[in-house]
Amino acid sequence: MNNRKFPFHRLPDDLCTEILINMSLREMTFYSFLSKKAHSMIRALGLPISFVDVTMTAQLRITLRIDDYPLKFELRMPEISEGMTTLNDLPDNVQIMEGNEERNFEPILSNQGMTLSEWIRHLSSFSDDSFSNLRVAIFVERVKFDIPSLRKTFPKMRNIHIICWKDEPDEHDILNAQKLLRVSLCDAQNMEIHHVPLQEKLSLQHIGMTNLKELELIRPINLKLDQLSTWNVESCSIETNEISLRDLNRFFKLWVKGSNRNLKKLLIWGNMDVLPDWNILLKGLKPIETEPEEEEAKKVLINNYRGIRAGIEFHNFGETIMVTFTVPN
Amino acid sequence: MSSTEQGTSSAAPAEPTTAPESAAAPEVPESFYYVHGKDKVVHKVSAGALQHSALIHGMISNLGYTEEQAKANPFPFENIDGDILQMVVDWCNQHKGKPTPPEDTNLPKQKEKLFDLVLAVNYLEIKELLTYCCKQVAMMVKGKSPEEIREIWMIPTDAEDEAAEKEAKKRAGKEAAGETAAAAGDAK
Repeated sequence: MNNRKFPFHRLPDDLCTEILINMSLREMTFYSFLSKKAHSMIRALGLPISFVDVTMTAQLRITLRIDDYPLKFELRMPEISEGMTTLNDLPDNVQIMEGNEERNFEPILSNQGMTLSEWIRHLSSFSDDSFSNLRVAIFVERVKFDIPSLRKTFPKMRNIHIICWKDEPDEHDILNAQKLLRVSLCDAQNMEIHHVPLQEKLSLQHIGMTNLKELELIRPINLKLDQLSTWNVESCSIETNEISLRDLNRFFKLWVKGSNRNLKKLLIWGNMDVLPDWNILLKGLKPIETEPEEEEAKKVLINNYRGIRAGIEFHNFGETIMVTFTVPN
Repeated sequence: MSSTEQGTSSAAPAEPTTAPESAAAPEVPESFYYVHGKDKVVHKVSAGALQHSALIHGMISNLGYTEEQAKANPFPFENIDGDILQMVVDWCNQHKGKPTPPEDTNLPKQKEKLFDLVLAVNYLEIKELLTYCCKQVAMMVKGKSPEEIREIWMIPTDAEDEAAEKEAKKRAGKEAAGETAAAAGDAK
């Protein structure tokens, strides 16, 4: 026997497992690439992976997290101007980064003969609950996917962030966002929509009406606060500079009348050009003043017709205001 | 560390020389047991040192040997190479009655020896030593690329795994057919 070699698979399975659990996540991952048997042994370890983050920009990045300690795989694509179009492509190579300081590791890995889709499925398979722990962030202006490869890779997308950095999105971005929403809305539980251009066919109203647990809207385009009363989400946070206290007041009045039964929390914050007049927000709600949780805030309680009590807390941080509506369990 | 001598499992071993150095002179006379591996070299080991091995400890508890009986009947471990058993005995003697440290740097660096040691320690159920050995095996591939891990740990490819599986099935089929034929022959 060559002294440089150790016939690992000739050990009993329980000993192999004992050795594997003494390895770092990086080495476990590398080992899993070696064969189907090696992969299934790593899967059987039931690694305590809290999240698998998949970020799709011009490159694809997959991050495995154990106790907030990340191991990142950046899948480098050939230089192409039109961005990533399918998950069936093979990456050129893979850069590994470990820890929060993003220390790079040499050598850069080969693509291990796996397509982008296979990389995602391989790495997310380590997690016990691969659907719930998978968070997908897609930048619509950089990625133009064909739907079949997306569906094949993510049969159930529970956590999805759709992001658009462009100030003025074009037709392609709108179309791309629509495609992504259509694929993801039916299974999504947590959704973040970051300045995504939408159309009447699939608007914020449609998204809000699905049974999402969490919806986060950052700089939403064409948001109408009075539409909130028809939404089914459990928790919603909105960052916008177009806060209308009158519309919010209308929303609270409708809640008092019985709308938004599922809503547990609504958080709205953003900049306002004028000083907010809280009387507009509370008009007609029969608010009861109470102690706020933070000193600078003001808090009132309101009751709806079913006797359910909710709190409205509002902050004014100079130009930024924040309104939090909470229904205790 | 331990005393050794050539002998056979069937014949009573000759008088081993000295007790292990690490065994401090106890107030109550300590009992000793004898083990040998594939090379038939008999090792005299104190009961305290052997407590590390759940397997041997269980055997001692069940047999209730006297000193004389123990000397006449060394525990035979024919599946363990002599030099590996020597390593195990040395480790048990060194760590007799002591708390085990978090690291053990005295384990063999040669991969062939380490492989045999892991198997022996697993068989003898020496939990702490097994933990050290597993850490040492894991250290072999620290900082290595997937290709290097395959090389060092001799991991077969999927194709090789499939071929080996086919071969094993074929062999099992042949053996089963042989047994059936033999049974039919006996029946006639």
